[in-house]
Amino acid sequence: MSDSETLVILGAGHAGGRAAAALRKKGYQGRIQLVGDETDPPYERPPLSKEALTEGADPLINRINDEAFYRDNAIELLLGKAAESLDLSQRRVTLNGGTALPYDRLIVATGCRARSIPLPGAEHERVLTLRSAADCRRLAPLLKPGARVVLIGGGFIGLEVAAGAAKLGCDVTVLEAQANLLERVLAPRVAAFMAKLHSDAGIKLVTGAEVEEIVHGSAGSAVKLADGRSFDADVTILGVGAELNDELARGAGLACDNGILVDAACRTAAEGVYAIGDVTHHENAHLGRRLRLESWENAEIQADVVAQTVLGEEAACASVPWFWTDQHGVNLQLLGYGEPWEEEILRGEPEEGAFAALYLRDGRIVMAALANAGRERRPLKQLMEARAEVTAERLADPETSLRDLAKALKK
Amino acid sequence: MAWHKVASKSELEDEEVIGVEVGDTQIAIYRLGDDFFATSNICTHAFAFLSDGYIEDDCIECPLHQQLFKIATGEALEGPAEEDLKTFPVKLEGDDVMVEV
Repeated sequence: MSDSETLVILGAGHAGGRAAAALRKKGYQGRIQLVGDETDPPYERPPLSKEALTEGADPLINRINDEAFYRDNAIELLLGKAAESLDLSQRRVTLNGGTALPYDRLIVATGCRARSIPLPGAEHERVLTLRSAADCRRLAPLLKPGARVVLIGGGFIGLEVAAGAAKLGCDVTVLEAQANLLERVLAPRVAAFMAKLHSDAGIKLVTGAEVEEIVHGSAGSAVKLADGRSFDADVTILGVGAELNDELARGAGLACDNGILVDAACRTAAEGVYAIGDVTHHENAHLGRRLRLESWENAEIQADVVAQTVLGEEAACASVPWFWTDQHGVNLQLLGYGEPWEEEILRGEPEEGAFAALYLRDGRIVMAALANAGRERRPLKQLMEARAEVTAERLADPETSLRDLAKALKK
Repeated sequence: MAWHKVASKSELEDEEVIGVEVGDTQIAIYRLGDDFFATSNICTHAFAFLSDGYIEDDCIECPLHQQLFKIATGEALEGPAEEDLKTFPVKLEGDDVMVEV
């Protein structure tokens, strides 16, 4: 690294913003240009489907550093600028409008966008998605008491919106294509627990829903299913997952397969080119496999790892993945992702609203779901990362303290 | 500023934290060995009670986003928060844990 080099970060979202800050905090001396197509400065996205939607909070409530920080740390923020092309051999990003940004090093942090679906009627002002602060500003004023809100897709973000809308007095329907809510991401017991929260709050859950079209009239819309059912909507929200913003990387010839391929240190195959955040399909040194994670934690970790890598330090993504969601006053945290499991251990009572569900394979905890039990996360993560052997009997015993088990690891 | 009794020493075991309210102020009371500390109970990053968090190595970890704060000083260590936790003076009178708010 030299003082005269230029580092461009493409994407001024959570990962990009955090990476710029981490580089400076760790002593990077080169020029940093942080380029994003949103006009908002870097911010964390979780509040968009939570307090910014339901409590009138500023969508930028969890901004990543204030303006003074960027100024004081000589981080050039180029906002509202979409990149048009990337030339790896010339080491140059070209923005829409033709401005060229030459770089010595490049961090691609272009993230994802809300998936659009080729559904008749989906392109309409009453059909919204939620991904950005701008989306949140459009949606929040529409969630008025009595408003009929139909969500197409029952993923975590969609369900957070559903919970928030119900709290605000909207009449909420969730249309889920699968036979059960959240069946791809949660074990049946936990998925059923979450589904019950929604039905108890008066939300209509329609599973196995095959949406055929959205019809718009002067007074409202109707979401039509293939089986003939129809749901009236003042606002329809598409929550059918995310699409990768990897076109620029692909166009430049960076290897992509379900995301930009990077190693555990966030390096692509091209020298001096790194990628971080939702857009990466990255090696996880602990799990020994590739992951693509759309999560707050992954943005944090990869921002930190890439800063170390750029500075020539050894660093690797090597933790058990962690996610959380807040719905109907329940904080659900998940450790581990997509692991096969053999045995489920329940600690606590789902009926009482707080429990931990642990999933074992070969005598080790490989995944966990914690409902209103965030205190257990740290010892569990330590047990999982140490691959500690532990019996189902021991874990099932309410007298067994996870904290004591984790502490015993250190002795 | 006044001293308030917020807990009894015997209520807290080593490495335990409880949440208390003094007026409108939410305060977390910690015991580390024979020492007691008090900080704001609300994480400076997002709304969460630190008294629901996890104590290790003289730090409290927020139950929501893994933010670590040094209990004695309130200093924000690893994690997303930039702002330190407010701390409050603590004194012991017999079995009473007193906090100045």
